[in-house]
Amino acid sequence: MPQDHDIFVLRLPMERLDAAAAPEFKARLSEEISEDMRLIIVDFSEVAFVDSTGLGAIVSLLKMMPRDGKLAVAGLNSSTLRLFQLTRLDRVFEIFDDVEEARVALSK
Amino acid sequence: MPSANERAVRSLKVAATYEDVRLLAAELQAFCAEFALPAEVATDIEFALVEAANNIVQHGYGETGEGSLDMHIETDATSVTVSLCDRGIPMPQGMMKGDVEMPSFDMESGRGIAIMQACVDRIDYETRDGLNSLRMVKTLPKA
Repeated sequence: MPQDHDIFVLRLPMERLDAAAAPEFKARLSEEISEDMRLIIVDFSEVAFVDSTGLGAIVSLLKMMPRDGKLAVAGLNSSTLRLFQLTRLDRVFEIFDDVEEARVALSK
Repeated sequence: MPSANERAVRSLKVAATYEDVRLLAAELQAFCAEFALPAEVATDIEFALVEAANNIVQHGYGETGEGSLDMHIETDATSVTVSLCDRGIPMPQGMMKGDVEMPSFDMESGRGIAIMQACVDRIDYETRDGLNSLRMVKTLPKA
């Protein structure tokens, strides 16, 4: 069973994950994410708005992970959840109410 | 929401940059709040606006930071309309006609137009004398 420290929580400290924010966010991914990270939770709790460029950056994160990795998304509000649903990415990422719920699910 | 005979309008012109697209979004949100448009409508019309404006910044002006975007917002008792005008490279003809499919999950881009189509009820696009005009209409739910 994976230990807690095997789960990497990626906090998004921004109100908008959009085309203006995406370049810096993707640079941060290159610095912080390594190929051996199998379990990642993206914490959206501070994000009020996401656009398709922001979603593309999350997809790029998924592609950086090993094939057997799991990428969970936590803390979506009704607006950001709506975009995941519209783009059907809610079927690709596991979505949880908050980081703790995601952590419990990924630890199983 | 404006009553049956009322019409509210607002306009804003910004530079064609991703940073300034945020100003358009903020203006639209303020407008939606001022006229008490339903939250779901405000969310969807903001998604459509941001995707449309980003497309113009990226493809119309090639991310040069040159040029401008003119937004016009209008609402009455039945709908909210957001129009964007620019003088960049026009969208390929017919791009907005017919449903654009959402790209597969592993694509990092290409979702913008499909999101616009999913979020509003009508999209019109035309280019005249070098001015591109995009008009997106979202019907308001009946009270």
